[in-house]
Amino acid sequence: MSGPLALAITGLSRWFGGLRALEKVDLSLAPGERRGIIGPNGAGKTTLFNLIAGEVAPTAGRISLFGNDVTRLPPQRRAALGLARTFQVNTLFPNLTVSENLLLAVQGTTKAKLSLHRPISSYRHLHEQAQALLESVGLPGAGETIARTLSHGEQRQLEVALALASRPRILLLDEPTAGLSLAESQRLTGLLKRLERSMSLLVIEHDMDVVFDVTERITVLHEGQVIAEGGPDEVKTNRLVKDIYLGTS
Amino acid sequence: MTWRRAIPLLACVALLLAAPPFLPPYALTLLTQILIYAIFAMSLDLLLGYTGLASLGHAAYFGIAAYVVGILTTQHHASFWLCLCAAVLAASAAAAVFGLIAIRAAGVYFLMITLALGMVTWGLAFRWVSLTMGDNGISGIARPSLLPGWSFAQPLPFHYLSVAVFLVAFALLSLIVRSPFGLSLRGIRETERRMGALGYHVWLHKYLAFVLAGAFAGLAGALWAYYDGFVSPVEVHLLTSVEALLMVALGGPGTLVGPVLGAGIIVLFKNLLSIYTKRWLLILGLVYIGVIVFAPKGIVGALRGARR
Amino acid sequence: MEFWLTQAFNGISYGAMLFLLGSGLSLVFGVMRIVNLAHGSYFLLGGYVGLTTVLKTKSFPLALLSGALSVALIGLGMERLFLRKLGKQSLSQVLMTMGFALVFQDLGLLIWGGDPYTLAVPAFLARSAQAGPVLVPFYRLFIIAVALAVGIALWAFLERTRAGASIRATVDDAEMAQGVGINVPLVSAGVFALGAFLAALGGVVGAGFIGVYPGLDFEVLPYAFVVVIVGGLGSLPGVVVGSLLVGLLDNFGKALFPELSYFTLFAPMALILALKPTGLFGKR
Repeated sequence: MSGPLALAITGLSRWFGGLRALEKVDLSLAPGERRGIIGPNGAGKTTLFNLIAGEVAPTAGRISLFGNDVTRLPPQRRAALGLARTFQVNTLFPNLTVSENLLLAVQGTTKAKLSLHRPISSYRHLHEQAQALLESVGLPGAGETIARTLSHGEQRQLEVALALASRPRILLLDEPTAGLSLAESQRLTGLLKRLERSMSLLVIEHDMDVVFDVTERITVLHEGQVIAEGGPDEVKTNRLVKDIYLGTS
Repeated sequence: MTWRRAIPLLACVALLLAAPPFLPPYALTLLTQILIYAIFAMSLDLLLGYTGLASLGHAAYFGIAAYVVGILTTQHHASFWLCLCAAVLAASAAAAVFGLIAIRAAGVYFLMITLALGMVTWGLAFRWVSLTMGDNGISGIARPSLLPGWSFAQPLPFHYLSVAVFLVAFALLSLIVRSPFGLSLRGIRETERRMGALGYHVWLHKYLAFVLAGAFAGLAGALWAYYDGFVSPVEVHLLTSVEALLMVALGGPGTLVGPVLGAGIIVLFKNLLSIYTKRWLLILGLVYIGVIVFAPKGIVGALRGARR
Repeated sequence: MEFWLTQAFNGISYGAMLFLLGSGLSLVFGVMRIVNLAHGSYFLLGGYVGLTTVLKTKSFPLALLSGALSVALIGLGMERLFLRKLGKQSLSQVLMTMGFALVFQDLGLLIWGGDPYTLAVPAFLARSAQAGPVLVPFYRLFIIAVALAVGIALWAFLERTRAGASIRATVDDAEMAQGVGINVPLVSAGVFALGAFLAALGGVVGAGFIGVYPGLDFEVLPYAFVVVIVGGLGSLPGVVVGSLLVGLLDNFGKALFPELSYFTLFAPMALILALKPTGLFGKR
């Protein structure tokens, strides 16, 4: 894969008063790379995602997506550049149907979203895309179900589907298998592995099996700093990482 | 639109068109009033029910349009179409300006800012006597005549004019809420955070909804000026704004049809009640309290919930 | 020169009354995030009760106390019996408090009739003194004094007592406060009653110079909100600054541009909000 880095973070810091949630983090993601982010609770993983996504402004440092400096850009501009994310807690549209959830996601990066003179039912290609997404994440036929009545596992699937709707070039997944059963977890992992190779992935996970299965390189965060980075074997044998994870998988 | 939903709607439209000649005069004027307030309530529903923004100053746009019609008609004898366009434009312009200040805020801040903006409009209506006649209001607004010789001075022709405007407003608003833009508004109401991540310029959507809502409120206000023949600061007062909120809340926010129903109930209630008792304000207050205690999702919401 | 001094003095005294009106609203908002459309009604009812007390007992201090306390009780009743059940639903709160406002307005009309009244203040307060070029009515000085006393008492209460600390903690973060063991429902009830108390006190005080009449409740309501919006919700220094600003702007506005007087409130409010959406001293 050639071309500019999918994601380039330099010197990224975020302080909340006296708390240093992230401290001088550097991270580069090549196009098509699959990277895992691991670390104990409070290491700053979700803060990192919020900074990349543009929900939170950094205290210092720069972020660029595919060669574009996005440090000051709001979330919707980053989405237009090909960024998508899932949330640690399901952030769906609870009272809308699954189809409506997906339509919102599909039209989000299109001009159609500002059109008010045609009913949405007339936008066939949007509906087709939504239907295709529905099937690819394993929820066929659930179109008319109200989102909040889905099971937790199904909601998590919808969560991922919403992020995939814009055909992103880089996808941030925040603990995608949280709360899933083994079977559901495996199905999701299968889905992630089947994603287009050109899509870059950044995955926060606590489930090490998922991390080692889906990602090729792992970055370890601890107390806001990168303490290790490398392939699965490197990270597994890293002394510092082992100390921190003593007792956990 | 499925046939199951379309048939009751078509039946209502048919009734609206066929029944008026048979109604006694008082009932006819009440029905006209209901239709005008229904437009007002629907405009607020776009903002409240669909976008999730509760405005306490929506009467500002209703009133500004009414005043524009009042001033243009009594002082400049302007034609119906000119007045209507000027009124809706004025209301939209006001919403465009106020929206810039209000949309930055969320939740309760939004409520308070829209309240303040609404009362500022009231204050202008009340104090700018050279323009608005202040507390005395503008009276003698003549009914329009669309074609020479075809005046709307009589209740029945004017009623049909109101029916026409109502149906147009209802059709346009239905189209808007069923469009991708309409779905975006509902998304913002549900989970604003996700919308930004999905690529939506949330502020812009809210702002557009705000201006559109103001425009339709202006349409209602313009019609009201012709209906009542009289415009006063009451049209922009907080009470009028809150009444619109009640109509939406009572009927069921986010349904478009609900606010129409709510408008009907409140207008009938106010008019009929004040015939029988001087304490109608007290009872209206109790109705407000009662609605919240017993029917928080409104009538249409409760009906739909029961059906599921 | 005399004009400017007089207007400035009038603006400050009006601002003092607005401080009483707005401080309660700001506190209630800070703790509970409730938009209380009946806040103006508290002001009005306080004035009416104070009026009747003075008529019956000729005691001004008693009028201040009875007006404020009776309305505090009403506020407490509203919160405990009705508003508490609504949780965080803003629209429902607005509609319900509006319902109460209408009920109170009609009750006021029923009990006190439609005529405007002015509360008979003690003779020594009704005098004026000449201070240089300016005629200083003692009553306006009294209002400023009351506002100062209340402001200092509030500050001391919030900063130096345990109850006050609980309130400040709840304003900051209600969930955390609950977690630390603060009885948030009790704080809410207490603050709501305090808010009503302050507004009603403002009403009794106001009854002596702007009077009491039907419609006053909705006339002062937007002022209360503008004070709180400009100053920032939940901030006592914010209310001080906000009420002074609004009082001065309103007075100068009415004197210099009578036809645009509300506009002189609007323009600065818009400017401040455009720069800082949560008000001058506002937090989140």
